[in-house]
This record gives sequence, C-alpha cells and structure tokens, in this order.
Amino acid sequence: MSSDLDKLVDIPVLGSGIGYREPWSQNLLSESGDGVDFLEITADHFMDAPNWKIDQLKELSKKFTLIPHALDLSLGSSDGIDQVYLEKLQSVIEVVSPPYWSEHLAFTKAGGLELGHLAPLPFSNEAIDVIANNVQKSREYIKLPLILENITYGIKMPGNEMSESEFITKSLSAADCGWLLDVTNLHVNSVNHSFDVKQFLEETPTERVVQLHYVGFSSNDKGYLIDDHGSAVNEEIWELMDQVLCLCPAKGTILERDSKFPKFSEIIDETQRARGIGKKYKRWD
Amino acid sequence: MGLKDIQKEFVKLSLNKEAREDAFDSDSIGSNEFEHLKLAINRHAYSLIRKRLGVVKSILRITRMVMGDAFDEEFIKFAQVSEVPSGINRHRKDSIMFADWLVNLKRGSKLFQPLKVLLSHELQPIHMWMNKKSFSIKCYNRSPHQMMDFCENSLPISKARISPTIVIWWETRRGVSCYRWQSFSL
Repeated sequence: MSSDLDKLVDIPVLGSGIGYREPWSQNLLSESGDGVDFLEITADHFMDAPNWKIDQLKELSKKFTLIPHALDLSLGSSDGIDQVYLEKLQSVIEVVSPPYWSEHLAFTKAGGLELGHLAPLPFSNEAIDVIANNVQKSREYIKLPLILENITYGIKMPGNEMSESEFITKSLSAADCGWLLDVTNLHVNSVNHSFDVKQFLEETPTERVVQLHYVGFSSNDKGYLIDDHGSAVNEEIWELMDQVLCLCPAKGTILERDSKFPKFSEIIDETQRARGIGKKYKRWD
Repeated sequence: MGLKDIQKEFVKLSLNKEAREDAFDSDSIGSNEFEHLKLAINRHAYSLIRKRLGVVKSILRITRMVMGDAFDEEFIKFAQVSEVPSGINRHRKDSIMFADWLVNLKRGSKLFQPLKVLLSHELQPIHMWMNKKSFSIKCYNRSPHQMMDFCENSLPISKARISPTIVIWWETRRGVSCYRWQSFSL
C-alpha cells in the first residue's frame, strides 16, 4: 500500500500562487491573473454557499488548479472531528478536484465549544495520536493526500513533552501527511520563542514539504512578531524562503494575504519574486 | 491533566470571562494548570474578540460609521456576555446577534427606529446568503439610503424623516448584492 508521501511525490509542480480573495476575482479571471500559477481557496468560504458562489469556484477552476485549505476541521481535537463539517468539506473538494488538500496542526474546538481560531496543541505524544486518528478518520471521506500546516502560537500549552520540531516530525510521520510549511509562521515562532531556524529545519522532515505559505508580518512595541497577514512580504521572509526552497522539494508557494489588500500588481510582483526563488533551485521552470 | 481536559479548559478560559475570573482569582492560585499563563490567556481571549469584531465591523460597515468607537466598545461588552456562535456561518450569526443587541440597547432612544432600519438593511445580504435566496423585498418606514447619505455627510441618522420605502434585492451571477429602492413621501 502506498503512503501519502509516495502520492505527494507524484503531485505535479504548481509554481507560484496566491490565496484566493474575493476582491481579486476579476483580476484573476482577466489577463493580469496570468501571473498567478495556481490558487489556494479557503474551503470554509464555500461551504453551504449559494449557487453563485459555487459557480464562481467552477469558473476559477477552468483557469487555475485550486487547492482547498480548511480552517475548522480541528484535527487536533481530542473529542474527534466534526462529521458534519467533514461532509461539507468533502463537497467543496469534490467541486474543485484538487491534487491534495490542506489543514493545520492545531485544534479549534473542544467540549462542544468553538474558538473560531487555530489554537496550538501541547507538544505531546497524546496529541500526536489524536492527530493521527483524526487524519485517519478524515481519509474515510476524503481520499486525496493531505498536507498539514505549522501554526504560530502565543501560548505554550501545558503538557509539552518535546520540542516543536520533534512534534511536527512525529505528527507528520504518524499521520502520514505532507507538510505545508508556513515560512512566516516559522520565522514568527523562531523570534517569539527564541529558537534557531536553521537547526529547526535540520530537525524536521523537509522531504515532506509539498507547499509553502508566506506573507508579511508586523511587530508590536515589545518586539513581539504578529502574523497579521496584512503586510508586504518582509526581507527576513524572502531570505527564509530562499533557504527553505533550497532545502525542500516544494511543489508550490502561496502568498497568503488576508487584509490591507494592496494593488493587485503588488501581489503579482511578490508572486513573481517567489517564482524566481523556486526557479533558482530548479523547483519549477 | 490529559489532552481532553487541557483543550476543554483552554477553550473555556479563552471564551468565558467569568471562567477566567474564577480561575485566576487569588483564592484559586495553584489550582489551575493555566495559572502561569494568565497574561497570555487574557491576551488570547481579547484577540479572539478583536478578530470577531473585525469581521462584524466589515459586515455592519455603515452602522460602525454611525456609531464610531461606541460600536467597538459595545461589541466588546456584547462579546463578553454572549455565547460565541458556532458553525460555518458563525460570523454572520455574530453580526445578527450583535445587531439585536444594539437595537435593544437603543430601545426608547431617538436612534432606535433609524438604527433598526439601517441594521436590517445592512444584514439583508447576510440573510440572503444564509437562506440561499437570490431575491428579496423589504419594506421600511424610513429610507436606508437616506440614512447612508446622512452618514457619509456626518449627519445624525436620527434626522431621517418618515418615508415608507420598498427595497428590492437581488444577487448577480458574480455574487454581487444589488438593490433598487423607492421611497414615498407622506
């Protein structure tokens, strides 16, 4: 039986893409959208959506490969995963027929309550087992390969038994998933929690990286970094993108801008720069 | 404390102000695994509320312009005592619940009737999305459009005159919510 890792190797190269946001829909479907190689869609935005929204998805899928990115499956929940949400997610994925889909190494729900935001897991063996079991359950519905994203965290949860790098390594292995390496999250965590990025990358399974996320960050007056998804990509992130693309067999990169939208041409410029880094390391042509 | 309890406690502390006060008061020091995270949990709880506020503000944009900072202050009060909505439509439900809160708050004031109309108008695309409708008709005793003009020109919406108004909504194939309205003078 082939593992997800084998399937991920067979994924076609995707190149340099962006997270789909409503204000850019016309740009993307016009000629200016030709500067984008593929799109990541937030699956949650298309669940229970009216017909026009699903039509929009179908129109986009004629021009771009669409990768569904889910926010609220809560794969780290010890309560298990929400079957209703899973079915809705499956429906969205069926519309776009992607080569894979993505979620987070995190939880959003517990005790019947929803946080509405990603929360970190304790870096513990129990959490790894929960992730592996929940991913297994999700595979009963969604047969496509899954890649999991590293998140930022302001809180170190009680119950940590290992480092973040060990936790990510063991979780991806136990769940047999690819890695959606968020370069910005990695940089933000390395500054806020004082660890060495180079060592982190040496300790983690970079061969599992399928896709990257990147975007700018901001900082508060105490020097604490915030992944606000609302800034132009900082030079520190471009440098880390270079290191990561040198090391990892990524199939594509996604610029993940969520607020303070600049002109679309600026988004294209950043996408172009990421494409150039990938080309330098022969990740794509 | 196992993972299940850690997650349950974390979510409860993040969402419930009373739970935080109980857990972090001086009498219970040492009894809670999150005690040393008091500052971080409080910061996290506040950032969750700010995140909700950001989405609700973008949905109720005109009402936010009318109320100014009082909108944010009221939302923070509302968020601390109301149940956090769940599911795919949680931000839409949040906006509807907060609109009800504002209407109740202004009951008896000069702003009550105009605000009720404005909120209903701003929420109409949300109701259409949730009910999967692409067409609807609404009737008001004031013109939402007149109030929006007042707002753009920094005039109080309480000055909006009684003017029966019919608003017809529809959604284009590209998902743009459009409306036409007709107001009648009394």
